[in-house]
Parts: sequence; structure tokens; C-alpha cells
Amino acid sequence: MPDRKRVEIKINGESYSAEVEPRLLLVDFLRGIARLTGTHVGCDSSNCGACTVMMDGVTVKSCTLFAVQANGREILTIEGVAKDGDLHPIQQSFRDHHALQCGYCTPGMVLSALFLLSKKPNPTEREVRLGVSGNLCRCTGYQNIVDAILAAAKRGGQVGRRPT
Amino acid sequence: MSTGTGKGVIGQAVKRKEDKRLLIGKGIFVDDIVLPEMLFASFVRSPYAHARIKGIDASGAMKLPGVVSVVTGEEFASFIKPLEAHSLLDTSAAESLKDYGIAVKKAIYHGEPVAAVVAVDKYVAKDAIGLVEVNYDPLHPVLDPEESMDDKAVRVQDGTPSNVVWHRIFSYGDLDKAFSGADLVVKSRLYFHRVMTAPLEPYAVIASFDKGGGILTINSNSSHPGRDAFLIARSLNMSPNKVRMICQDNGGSFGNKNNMYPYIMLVGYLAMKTGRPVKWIMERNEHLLASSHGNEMIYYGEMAFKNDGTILGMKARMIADEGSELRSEPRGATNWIRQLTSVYRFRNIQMDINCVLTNKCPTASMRSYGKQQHSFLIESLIEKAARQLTMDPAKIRFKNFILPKEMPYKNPTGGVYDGGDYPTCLKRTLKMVGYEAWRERQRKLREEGKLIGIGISVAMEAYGGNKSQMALWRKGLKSSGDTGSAMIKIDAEGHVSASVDSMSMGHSHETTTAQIIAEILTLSPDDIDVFPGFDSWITAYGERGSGSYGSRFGIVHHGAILGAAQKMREKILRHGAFMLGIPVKKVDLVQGRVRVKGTKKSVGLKEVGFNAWMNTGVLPKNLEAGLVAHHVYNAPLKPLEAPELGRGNFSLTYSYGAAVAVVEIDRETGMTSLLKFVCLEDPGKCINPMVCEGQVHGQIGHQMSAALFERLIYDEDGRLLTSTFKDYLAPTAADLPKLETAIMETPALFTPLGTRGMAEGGGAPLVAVVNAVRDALSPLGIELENSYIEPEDILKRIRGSSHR
Amino acid sequence: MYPASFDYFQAENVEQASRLLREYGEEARVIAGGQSLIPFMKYRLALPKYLVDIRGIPGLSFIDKKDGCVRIGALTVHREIEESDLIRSQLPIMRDAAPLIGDPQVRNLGTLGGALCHADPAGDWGPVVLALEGRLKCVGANGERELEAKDFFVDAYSTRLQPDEVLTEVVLPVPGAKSGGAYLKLARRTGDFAMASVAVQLTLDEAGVCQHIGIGAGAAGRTPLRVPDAEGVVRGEKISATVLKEAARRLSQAADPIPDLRGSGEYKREILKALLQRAAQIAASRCKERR
Repeated sequence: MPDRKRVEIKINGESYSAEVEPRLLLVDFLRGIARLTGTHVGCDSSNCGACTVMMDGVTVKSCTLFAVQANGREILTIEGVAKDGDLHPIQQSFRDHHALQCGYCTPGMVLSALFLLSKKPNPTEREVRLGVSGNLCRCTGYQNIVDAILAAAKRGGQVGRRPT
Repeated sequence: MSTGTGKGVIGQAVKRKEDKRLLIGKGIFVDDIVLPEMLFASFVRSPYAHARIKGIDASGAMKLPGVVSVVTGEEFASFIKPLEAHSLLDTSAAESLKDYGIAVKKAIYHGEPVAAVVAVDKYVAKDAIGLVEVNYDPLHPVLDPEESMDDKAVRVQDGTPSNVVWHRIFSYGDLDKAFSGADLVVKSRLYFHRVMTAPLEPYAVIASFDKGGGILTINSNSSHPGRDAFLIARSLNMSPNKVRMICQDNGGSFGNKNNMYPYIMLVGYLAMKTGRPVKWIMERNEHLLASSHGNEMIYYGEMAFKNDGTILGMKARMIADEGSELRSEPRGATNWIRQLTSVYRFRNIQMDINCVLTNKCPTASMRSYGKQQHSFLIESLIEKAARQLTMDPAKIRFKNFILPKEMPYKNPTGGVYDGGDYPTCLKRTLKMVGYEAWRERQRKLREEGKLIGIGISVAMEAYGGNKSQMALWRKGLKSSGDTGSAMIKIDAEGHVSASVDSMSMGHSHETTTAQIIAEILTLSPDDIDVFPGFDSWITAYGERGSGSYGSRFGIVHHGAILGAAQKMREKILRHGAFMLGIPVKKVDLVQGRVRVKGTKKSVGLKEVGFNAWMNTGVLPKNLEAGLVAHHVYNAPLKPLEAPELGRGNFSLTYSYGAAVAVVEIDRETGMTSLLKFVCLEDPGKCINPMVCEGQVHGQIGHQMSAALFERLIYDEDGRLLTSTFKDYLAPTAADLPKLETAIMETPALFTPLGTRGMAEGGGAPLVAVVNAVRDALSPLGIELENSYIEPEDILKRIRGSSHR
Repeated sequence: MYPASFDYFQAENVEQASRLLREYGEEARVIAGGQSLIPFMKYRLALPKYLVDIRGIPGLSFIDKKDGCVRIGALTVHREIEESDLIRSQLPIMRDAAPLIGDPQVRNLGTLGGALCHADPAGDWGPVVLALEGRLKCVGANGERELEAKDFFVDAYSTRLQPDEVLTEVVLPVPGAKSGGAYLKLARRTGDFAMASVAVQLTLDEAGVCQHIGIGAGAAGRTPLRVPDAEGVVRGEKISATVLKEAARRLSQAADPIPDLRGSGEYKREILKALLQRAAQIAASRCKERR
């Protein structure tokens, strides 16, 4: 059995440190060690994006990354998006547009939307569809998700801002 | 106390109660739960479609540090009774069909569980899987259902007289007359491909056994926990009361999670054996391999027409490829009977049903279970006739619709349609899409050589299933009807809470339940807490039907919630009137306060709740203490009149909808693009239009994807090739078009709120896409008989066409 | 799906990475973005005993222009190529390809060097780098060397890299004025690997006669394919439907696509033909734009 490695990861502004097997996937660090279970697993093949989080400001799939690779980096999970109980404007827009049904894909979808709007504050419908093309949803046929993101963008301002 | 009046809450696009926890990552899905001392299970699965198991050597796996137990199929079989489903069938095959949920002496489909490993951690469990040595003797796999029907075919299940495990012919009207008097008979061999709804969260189970109390607690994401408890308890030799089923947030089902009881039973046994909680989280490839697939069907269909497009009759031979086990089947293979002539007026119909086993994953319920397949049959034959009669495909449908003035219409089985306006539904859909303008555009683009197609489909979807349907395959079965159960409580401080024996999997049950209660109790939905999920020890007791499937929430559960709310309203009024010292007929409920009619004198829920619970010494004898209301809604459904003849009313409601798709096909690549898609559905009264429309989107998403992207493919050895999302093409947002949808509300005649159930679509979106592709290719003289649009196949046909 | 155990090293520089690779030989694998390797490991199709993580090595993520060439560091992620103004102005064909790779999350971690070294027969960068006649800089125990893109790919998932070598940089000659390139890919679903893809880089003279052409094809065989035979048909000719049809025919002859669930070899050949003709027309129109 290879040596465990000490990793320290800042998640939503808080440091988590543990000795882990090198093969431990980041998503299992988040869910199992940090006990932040909003990040989900839906496929194992890097297709569904339910495990999407941000690492140093860009979206990544936490099931396709080892925790050791995230050592010393900053992670934002869905738990860090709403502040003080207030939904982030993108989350609010998801609610307003009924952009979630079962809610399993939602955390990853919200982070992808956040990243998209941070890069493209005024996306076209096509850009929105491509922007969340790394996140599968099986409930909504995507229509309300696309509408929610477009509406959030129209509200302008700091919608794409990352929570600090 | 109330922030609302309740007036008109039913029918409002109220924002969802469920959203906040899900949006901030605080939903509670099964895998989020951690119990002390919990172990992790993983299954060794058969790499073969069909193989004798000669031996299993677990010694290597047991040596791995962290492995607690390895349990083979043989060991399971020595402790558990086979699952009940098979034994229900009234044919000679039933005795031989023994379903343990795991292979015992032979494996009968690729991915079937063969042994279970229990370890301290999921990584170790996975390592151990690779160390369990199974000695297989591969057998010839039976994959083609038509070959499987041959008497000489290798048997999928040992001991069965034939792989055709159930066969029946149902006839209505005068087929000979219909076909002999026809101007046109169209015939097709139609194939509905194997597909699944693939919810984003696969099956998940945690079982824990309390040895002292003998209680097996199951946390799972089952959508049918009521029935599961009975099946599991029977197999594990315990009372269903001792199987506590808990489900909370659920990552989607669409019929798929109706069928996880074999796994729940296996994991339950592992917990009983190890004496520790055992978690099992199915992986995506396992889910695609070995959860449940949708019905794969072959139809030899014929439809008789007059020259003016009038349908005279239809006969079809159905070959249902059931896979290797009958789990919900033959329900799917008989669901057509609930809506046998769909929205059309013809009366002569015959169906020859053949349920056939093959060495593939068992099929079972899937959104629009067995019904989208039936729509595909009917709508394909109509489409073909329209082309042969050179009639507009919309016109031929208008010619055959049952009209609103004929409602309630009695169909050939005796099924009673609960209102609706089919012609208006199609008219509105055509208007939404701009049908005439698209036809004009199509003419022009065709001249430029473009392959543009416009596809129409109208479909029925019967909901509110009658339990009596099971009498079709179980002689003498005495069950009938359907029920839903709801309970409302008001505590000593006036807080209102409710629970329902349904299972919400994105359906927004918390929100719509609160809306109905709010309307009756003159409150705001925000005033009402609805128990999230299901707990068989806490939620309103239903029966073994408890759960959500077949869109029954909008029927039996709405009835239950309404009934409980009305009972609660009566109780509040009686307690309030007592407190106000006047007869109950002189009080009214306004904004959650019991008010003396015509005055401002009133008492609030808080006072009423306190008095009803905490000051019971003053209550008169005829006033029941406390504020609890429970209602079991009994759907007005009678036993079948003649099960052997397939006669009776199989459903309480008959929903319907129409879809139109416009596609373009690339002549050089065979790829189909959707240019426009519209869909309209009539769910009867909408409790929450926002939720209803969202459900329609989802239904379109599944069926459109089934036509263009998703297909389960087995190779010639019976190995599933599409066992990851890399190969099973669940589409992304960038692959689907803008969905234009609308709801039309024609109240259902036989439900208390006029609701009809909704959003399985009856196959309309799928068939609209297929018909659009057919329309695009029609100038080339190409007929398509498959429900799946395969680009290579399309290109081949274009290249092979003599009309190029 | 959980990978088998392995030991993990973070290399601080290329020399250290090379040393570790030499030490552990066949049992070691380089990991950069990991977007191809990790799924393979989760399915236990790849079982490295040692992972050498090069992602933290400084100085390998850059895009610049020097001596008429665009140079891209091997650790540059796809998204940076997608967003680069230099790429947009100098090598628009790469701007075509970048957003077609995987999905946003994959493009945020996946690297140009990693994708090339993974050598998926249906990968997107292979055909583009071939059409641009790129060179790949590799560093190993024996120092640095440059490989021509056309010599880099050996077989499916196999390259000319020595076990102790690390790809450090991709060098792409910038085509002159009156040049245009285009990359087209047909995928069954957004972000999927190609059913077939074609990259065409063209240079036309004033009269519209082809002076230079590079054609690369993806999912056309066990490696990305450079197609000199098809190029020869176009060179010295004006771009016309007839010429392109013949080039397409030559491409389909040269191709030997691997059949899979997305189509037979025969079907993929047909798609290649269509894509070549379309990509060449777009490339030609871009030449005009740049004139």
C-alpha cells in the first residue's frame, strides 16, 4: 500500500487537512472528509458534471481529479455559493424559473453557470447551452435552466461574481 | 398568523418549497447519510450474458485487509425466498421462474450480480471485487426475441416450457369486417428500441438491522417503497411492519426506481448478516447494465382505412423482449389495453401479446410505460397511411378523433374517457408551430434539395391505473381500484404539517401538497410544512401501493390531500365554533381564523390548536380532541368486468397531448437536427402551471433523446456496449432545441379536483421526431420502421434511394 | 468507480519528472490535467503504479510568438487556447478546435500536451497540429529534441515519446498572408470524441491557386492522419468542387477508421469526405477574408 499523503485544501474559505491515499478522488475528499455533500456523483466517466466545483476560479469535475492534485488549492463548492442564507442571484434565478426538479444536478449546474457568466456576462442562448454542456440534467430538458441563466445575465451587475 | 387567504392558490405558479435546500447543496440524498460502523457493499457481476456458474472462490478477496464478507448467490438463496413477482403469473412458466435478484446457478444477463462484497470502505470493496474468482461455463445467449420464441431455443431460465412466458390475444369488435371492407391496409414491422430514462442518481441503499427489535431500516431512493416493503419482508421472512422504508431527496426516477427491490433485499440481507449498517451506491455502469430497461418491442401491425382516411381497425402481434426476468412485467406489455385505440374512434382492434425472455437486463417501468410503444405503433401506421393516401398527416388525424361531444366516451374495453378536446389540442399545437408556414417553407427548401421534415403525433396516456389490471395475468385476483393516503396535523401552537404516501423525485410534491391544503384551510402555502420524502413509520399510512409511479400523485394523492384538508377544515370549524360558543353552521374559515359569519369575532389557528390539544378537559364528548386528519382517497374504479376478455375500465383518467417536430437531415452525413419543437398537453386542472410545464419539458427531453440519442446496444455475445455515459448518449443542453410548450386545461370528469395526472407524454414527442424524419425522407421513398434515428442508417438509406 | 492504488509524485521540474519516469519505467505514467487518464484509471483500464504529476512544473504554460512560430507550452489548458487573442489572430484553425474539446470543465484542466500524448485516434489536436505542420519539443534524459508532428503518432494511444521523455512545447509555424484554416468535427453529441474530423490549412495566391495545403484527419485511423495524397490533388489548383471532391476521395481511401458504436469504417469515410470539402471551402473563404 503506497504512503498516504498529507493534503491541505481550502474549501469555501476554510482549511481542511488530512492524510489520504493518493487515489482518493477530490469528490470523496469533499463529501467524505470535509462532509460537504452538496457535490454529487452521477457517472464516473467525466460526462455528467454533477461533481463540478471550482478550483482556483475555474470549474473542474471533482470526480476526475485526485485530492492530492488539489493540495494547496482553493475550492468553491455549492455550499460556499450562497452567503448568510441568501441565495446567490444565479441560485435565485434557478428558483424563479423552476430550473431544478430533483436537484441532483443542480449544484454542479449552478457552478457551471457561475463560471460561464464570469467569462461571458451577456451570453447568447447558444453560449449558455454550450456553457453548461458539461453538466447533464435528466429532469428538465434544460429549457428552464437555459432561461434561468439568461435571465440572471440580464439582471446584469455582479451576477458572475464568485462568492468571496 | 396566515400570510395568505388561500383563495386561488390552486392554479398558481407558486415557487417551490423544495428548492432552497437543493440549491445550497443541503438536500439529503442517500449517499449523504453516514451511519456509525457503516460498511460498504459492491457486487461482482457477470461478464457473460448467459453462463453456468461452476464455482466462486472468495478466498483471495477475504484476505484483503478491510474485507468483512463475501456473499455468493448460492448463500443468498439459502436464506431468502425468491421474490414474489414471478409467482404471480398464471402460466406454467411461473413455477420455474425464481428471482433472487442475484445469479444462483447461472447468470442470465450481462451485469447480473453474482456475489456481494462487504468491506470497510468503497475503494477496498472495489479492490476486492477483482479478487473474487468466478468459474463460468459460458452458454449460448438468447438475444433475438423472435429466435427466442422458437421451441428449440435455449431457455433463458432453466425449467421453463418456453421462453414465451406469457401469451394472450385480446380482440374487440369485428376485425374481419374491418379489414375486408377496407380501401387500404397498411402493414409494418415496427421496432421500438431498448432505452432507459437513466436518472442522474443511480440506485442507492443503506440497510441497518436492529437485532433487538427485529427492525430492518432501509434508506433508499426507491420510488415505490410501499410495495418494496412487502416484497422484501416476504423474501426475508419478516413482517412488512418490521421493514421501515425511508426515502428523502431522490435524484430522479422516471419509472426506473420502481424496480430496485431486488437490490434492497440483497443489501438488507447483508446488513442482517454482518450486524452493521451497509451502504450500497450503484455506479453508473452498473445502473446502465443492471437496473431496469424500458420495454423493447417488435410489432407486426396492420391498420385498415377507408379512402377518406377513416380508420376501420388495427391488428398487431406484439413481441415484448422482456429481458431475463419479469419484474414489473407483463404490466408494460399490457398497458396498451388501457388506451387501446388512443384518441381515435375506431372500434375494431386485436392484439396478440407475446412476452419473451432473452438474456438481457430485465425490462420494467419507464416513463410512459408500454404506452409510448403503443403510440409508436398506432401513429406509425397512421403516418404511413397518410402518405399512401396522400393526405396531410394532420387531416387524417382530425378525421379520426373522438369529439368532445362524445365525452365521456367508452372505448372498446369499456374504459371511460374523462373528457378532453383532441381536435382543439392538435389545432392549437399546429398553430403554435406555424404549421402551414412550415409546410410552405418545406416546399421551397425541398426545391433547393434540402431534406426538411415536419412530424406530428397525438398520443393518449392513461393514468390512475386500476389494480384490477393484474387480473389479466393472475386469474381470480380480487384486487381493484387504487388509493392514496394523506395526513394533516395541526399542533398546539397552530402549526400545520402534512405527509403523503407518495415519493417525490423532482415532482414538487411538497409545493403542490401545500397549495391544495392552503386553498382549503385559507392559508398561504408558506404556512404549511410538508414532510419531505417518505418514512413508512411516520408518513400517512397508505398500502403496498405507496409511492409514485404512473403519474398517480395528480390523481389518488391529490384526492387524499383534498379529503384530509376538508376533514381538517371541519375539525377546525367545530373546535372554533365550540370556543366561540356558537353552532358550527354559524362560523366560517377566513385566513386561517374561525370567524363568526358576518362579524369580526374570530379565533385563530393558534388558539384553536391550543384548545384542541392542551385544554381537552373542557371539550364536550362529541368533539374529538386534537387536530389530526387522515384521508384515504378511494379512486372510483370497479373490478374488471371480464379480465379474460380484457374488458373493463383500466384507468381513472385519460390524458393526452400533441407534439410537432421540424427536422433537417444532412444529406452527406445522415445527421438529423431539430429546427423546432412544440408540445401541448392536457393534464386537466393544473395545481401549479410552472411545475406542470416543467414536467412537460422533462417528458419531451426523455422522448426526444430516445429518438435521436439514447439506445442500449448489446453485441452479438449479449454484452452491453453502452454501459457508460460516454456511449449511452444522454444529451447535453447544447444537443436539445428550444422547447416550446403549453398546457391546456380541460378538467378531468372523475377526479375531485379535475386533475388528470401528467407528463409522461404517451410517446407524442418521440413519435413526432420519428415522423418528422419520415416526412423529410418521404420524397426519397424511404420508410422508417425503427423508433431510433441512427445517422449511419439514414445515410445508407439516402444513398440507397432510387429517388436521389 | 475507484482507481487502484498508486504512488504519487509531484515533479518540480522537467528533469526531475524525467528522472522519476526513468526510475519507474513502464509502471509510471505522467499526469498533467488527467482528463483522459483518470477516467481510464477509474475503469481500471490503466493501472499505473506511479503517477508523476507535472502540472506544477513552472514555465510550461504559455502562448507566445517567436521567429514566425506560435509556441504553446505543453501544460497550456484548452481553455487558454480558446481564449487567446494571439491564437485567434494567428491560428484561427486552433480557435475552431479548442471549444470542441470535451466540455468547459475538461477544457479548464485538460492540456494541449496531455491530449497530444494521450494520442486518442479521435482527438482534436492531432489533426490540427498535422495540418499546421507543427513540431513537438520533448525533454528526456538525453536532453531536448524536436519531433515533427507527422512522426509523433505511432498507434492508438501511443507516441514516439521515450518512456523518460516529457512533451514540453508545441511549435506551430504561422502561415503567411492569404492563408486560412478550418477545423470541422462531427460528433454524435456535443463534446464527444469525433466520429470524424478534418483540419485544412490553405494558402492561396492572388489568382486563388493553392500554394500550400495541410490536411489532417481525426478518427480516420489508428492515429491522426496527415493526407499528402489529398493535399497533392489540391496544390497548384484553384479551389473548386471538383478538386475538393477528388481530394475527399483520396482522403477516404487513405483513411482506415476504427469502427465503433458511432459508425462503421465505411460510414466514417463518408463523413470524412463531406467534412474535407466543407472545411476546405471555409478555409478558402477565410483566405479571402485575410486578403
